[in-house]
Amino acid sequence: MRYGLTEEQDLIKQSAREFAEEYIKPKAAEIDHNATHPAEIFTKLAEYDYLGLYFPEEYGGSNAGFLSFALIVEELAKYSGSVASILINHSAKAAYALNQWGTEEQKETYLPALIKGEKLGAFALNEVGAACGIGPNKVVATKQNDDSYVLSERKAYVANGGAADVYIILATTLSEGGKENLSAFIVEANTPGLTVGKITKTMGLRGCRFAEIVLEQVIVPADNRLGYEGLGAKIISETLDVASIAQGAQVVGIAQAALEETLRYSKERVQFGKPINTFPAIQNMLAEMAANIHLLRLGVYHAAQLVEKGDPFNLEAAIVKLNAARTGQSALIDAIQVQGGYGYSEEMVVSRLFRDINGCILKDSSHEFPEQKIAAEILV
Amino acid sequence: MPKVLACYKWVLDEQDIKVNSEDYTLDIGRAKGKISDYDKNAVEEAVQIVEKLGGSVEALTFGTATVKQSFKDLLSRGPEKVYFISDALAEKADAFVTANVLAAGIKKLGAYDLIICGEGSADSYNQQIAPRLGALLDIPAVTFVEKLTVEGNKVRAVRKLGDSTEVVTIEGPAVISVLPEINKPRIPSLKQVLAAGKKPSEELKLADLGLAADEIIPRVVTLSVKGYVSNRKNVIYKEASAADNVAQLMASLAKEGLC
Repeated sequence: MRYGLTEEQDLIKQSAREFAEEYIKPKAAEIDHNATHPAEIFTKLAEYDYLGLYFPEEYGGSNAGFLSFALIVEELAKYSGSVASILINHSAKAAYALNQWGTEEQKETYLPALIKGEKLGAFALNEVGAACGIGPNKVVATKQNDDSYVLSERKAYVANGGAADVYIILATTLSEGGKENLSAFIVEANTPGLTVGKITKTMGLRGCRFAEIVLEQVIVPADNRLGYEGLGAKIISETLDVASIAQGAQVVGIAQAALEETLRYSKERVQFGKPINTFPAIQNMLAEMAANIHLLRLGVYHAAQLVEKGDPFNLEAAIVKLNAARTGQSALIDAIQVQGGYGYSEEMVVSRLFRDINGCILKDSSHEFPEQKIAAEILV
Repeated sequence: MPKVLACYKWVLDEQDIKVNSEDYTLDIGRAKGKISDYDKNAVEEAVQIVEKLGGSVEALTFGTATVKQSFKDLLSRGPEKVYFISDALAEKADAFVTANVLAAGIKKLGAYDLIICGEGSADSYNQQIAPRLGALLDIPAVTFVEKLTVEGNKVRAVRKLGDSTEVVTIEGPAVISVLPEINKPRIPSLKQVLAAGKKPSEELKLADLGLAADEIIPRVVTLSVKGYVSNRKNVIYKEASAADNVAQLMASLAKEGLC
């Protein structure tokens, strides 16, 4: 199908598809099986300029727009949800926040290295009991003097955790009136007191490490605060919205891979003397998968265009997140259903896609959450 | 330093072409265009030669108006400039017409040390362009090339010929047609894609190429193009003895003239 993309965007998508077939496809099963960060693929992403895709040229980026970023995420996710997750957490969370709210000095210090792939970024938001940064953060940044803060406690389930070189850490700060608020800090992985705790074994997206980040009296210069004190809530909200759109593209890619795999299987699998794709029950499932993926893709591309243009996108990001959960889950359940017992086997690609897609859907927040956001927007 | 020209064809992507199972006609309504596969090898080889030895690499194509859709893809793969001859005539052109048009275009552009083509196009795969260009330009043509080495104006080509290989040494200028084994076409990086939009393209008007009327009349007229569908006969031999089943299979194959 054609999606009204520019010639350039079509070509970017085509190149990303070729990149994924060449470098990711042969390693995808191994990445999943070994559950290790695929450093060599991250380096390749930098080599092909994918890490700096929508960032300004002055920091080494390509300024190609957020829609092009979504197109690349979609193509990479077709072969490895893990690689797409690493890219999203690096570029659409850590680097996005730095570019959006960093001072000129902070951007010059960190963005070129993140874009060149010399450093891997992570956005450390979740805590045990404070998912999506909502609710009181146990990680507290105590102001020592005008020059520094001390960060203590631990972040949980940090994507790219342990592999990352630079963390954006959300922490509770106290405003002048003594009121608690949230602030974000740039903390390098080698800062004394920062250690990597437990690595969480996950069902899917196993090549993207989810780790606990332990902070023991970590001294962070005030110059490393991202934006002003109390800006944390906005940083969380906007960054997660942007990431939701990228994760929507990730779901499109994984679901499309499941559809293509299922189309292939249903053509080859013969039952009662005929390929099963000739049976109406199978055709209905295939048609519904294709139709839902198409609609989700349109939603993702539209929301990505809003980000690119600088228009408000919070409502559209929530709609993408909601639809990604519905479409992703139903597509993979149908894919496994069509493939029957084979689909349930670890040997078949769809079982990995099923595990990966559930990771995309649960990340950052459950899918009930966007419904509240959508309602809040439309009830005004 | 060599001046290299890569010739390429913009074809329909066969993956998007559907075959009607009733009458085998082709549905190309949703088919997108692509650079013909072996022509990507030709472009890659031209670019690699220039990356190694210096010089320049340009590209030339002949096609309908849709050929303009190929420029960014082509230029992202390395050539500095693309020349194109765009005319509705290309729709019906056979290898005779295509080679005449390309040769006339090359004569207008000036001298090249090497002209590299794919061995055949992804649609018709006639394998005629390189030999015809060699004849029309009066320079050597070397086909089925799987390895190419250029030193000064000396060209050493390894040709893959069925069950043997042949090594040919010639002096340029020459036309070379390459096999896919010769290299692996690069995947353009994001910056190469973006830079392609800034590279030039130039049209050569068919009317300005000085071709005689009979040089652009196809010698081959295509009456129809149909797809090929493999329909299984689903014959099952159910004799108790395997030997009887094999005998029946052999008899059936013999009846079909297959053994």
